[in-house]
Amino acid sequence: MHRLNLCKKYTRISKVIAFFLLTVLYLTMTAPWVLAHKVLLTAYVEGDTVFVEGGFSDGTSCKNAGIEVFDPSGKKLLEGKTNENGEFSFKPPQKTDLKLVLNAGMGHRGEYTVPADELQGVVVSNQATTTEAMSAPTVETRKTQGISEAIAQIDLKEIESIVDRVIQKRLRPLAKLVAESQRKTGFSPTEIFGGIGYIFGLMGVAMYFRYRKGSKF
Amino acid sequence: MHISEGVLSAPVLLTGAAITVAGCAVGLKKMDYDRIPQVAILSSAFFVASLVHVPIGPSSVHLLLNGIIGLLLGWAAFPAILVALTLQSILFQFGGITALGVNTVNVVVPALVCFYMFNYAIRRENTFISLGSAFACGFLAVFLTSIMVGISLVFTGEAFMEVSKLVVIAHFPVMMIEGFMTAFCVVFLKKVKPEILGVAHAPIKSM
Repeated sequence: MHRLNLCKKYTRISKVIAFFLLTVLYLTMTAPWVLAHKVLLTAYVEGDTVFVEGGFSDGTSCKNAGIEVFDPSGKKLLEGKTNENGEFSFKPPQKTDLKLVLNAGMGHRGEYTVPADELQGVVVSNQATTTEAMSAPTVETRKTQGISEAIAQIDLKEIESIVDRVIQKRLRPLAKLVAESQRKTGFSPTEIFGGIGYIFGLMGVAMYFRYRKGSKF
Repeated sequence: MHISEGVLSAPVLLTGAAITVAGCAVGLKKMDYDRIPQVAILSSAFFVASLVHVPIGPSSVHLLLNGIIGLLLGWAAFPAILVALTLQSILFQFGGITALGVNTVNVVVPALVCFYMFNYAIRRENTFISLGSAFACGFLAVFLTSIMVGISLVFTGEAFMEVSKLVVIAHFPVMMIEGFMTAFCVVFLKKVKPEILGVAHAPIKSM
C-alpha cells in the first residue's frame, strides 16, 4: 500500500516537473535566442592572408576576442583581436601548420588549425610587396614594347598567382558559407531529445537495480 | 558556465574532478531510491535549460537553474548536474570532458550553499519569507557560480576582479530571471505539491 501511494505520488510529481520541462523545451525550440554555448573558429586562406572568423554556434560573432596564432611546436607567432564582426586576418609569417586559438573570455575558447598545404598560395609575408614591385615594370614594358613581348615576359609563376588570386576571390563567398555552416552544427533537436533520453535511460538503470534489490528481500 | 577544454591548468582540473567525485559519492549515498525520477527529471531540465541563451555583450549567457535544483535535490544535485554536463559536453561540445569536474563544482557548490541557506526559510508558511528567500536562492546561486568561474580562471592568468566583474555583469539578467523563476516554482510547488519541498513532512510554522 505504501509502495502504491509512493508510486502515485511520484507519477504526479513527475507530471508537474515534466510540464515544466516541456515549457522550457518549447522555449528552446521557438525562441530566437536559441544558441549553443560553444565557440567556433573557422579560417580560410585567400592570397597571402589568412582570414579568421570567430563566433558562437548560434551564428553570433565573438567581438573583440583575443586571437593567438601558434606554430606546430607551440611557439606563439602573433596575436590580435577580432573586430566587431568577429573577424581577424593576418599574413602568416611561415608556411607551417598554424594553430589558431580564440579566447572569448569567461572560459570560452575555440581552436582551429590551418594545415600547411592550404598555405601554398601564401608567399612569405614580405613577398607581397615584391610581387607589386615586379608587376609595376611589367605594365611599363607592356606600354613601351609590343603586347606579345609583354606576354612573353609574364612568366608562368605570375600567371599562376593571378589565376590563384582570381579563383580565391570568386571562392570567398563560398568559403564564408562553408565556415558559417560549420559553425552552426552541433546543436539539433535530435541531440536534445537524445540527451534527455540518455538521462531517463540512466534513471531506468538505477530503478532496475533498486527493484531487483527490493525483490530479493 | 561551460569552461572550455584547454583553458584551465592541471591542478585546477584535478581539484575540480576530486571534489566532483567526492560530491557524487555523498550525493548518491544520500539519494533516496524513490527520488531517482525526480533527480533524473531535474537533471534533464538542467540539460535543456543550458540551451536557452540570452545574448549579452561579447558573449551569451544561458539559464542555469542551479538554485531550484539545489533546493529540490540537495546533495543529489551533484550526480544530476554531472550527468547533464557530461551529455552536454559530448553532444554539444559545451565545455570539455577534462573540464567536467570544475564545471560541475562551479554549478553544484553554489546550489548546495543556497540549499543550506534557504532550505528552512523557503519551507515556512509565511508567503513573503518563502517567496523572498526563493528569489534570493535563484539569484544567489547564479551569482556564486559567476564568482566560482572567476576563481577558476584566476589560475589561468586572467585577473580575478576583472573576470569576476565581467562574468557577474554578464549574468545579471540570468540572476534576475532565475530569481523570479525559482520564486514561481516554489509558489507553484507549495500549492500543488507541497511534499516535494518537504513541507508536508516537516511543517515549520512561522505564525
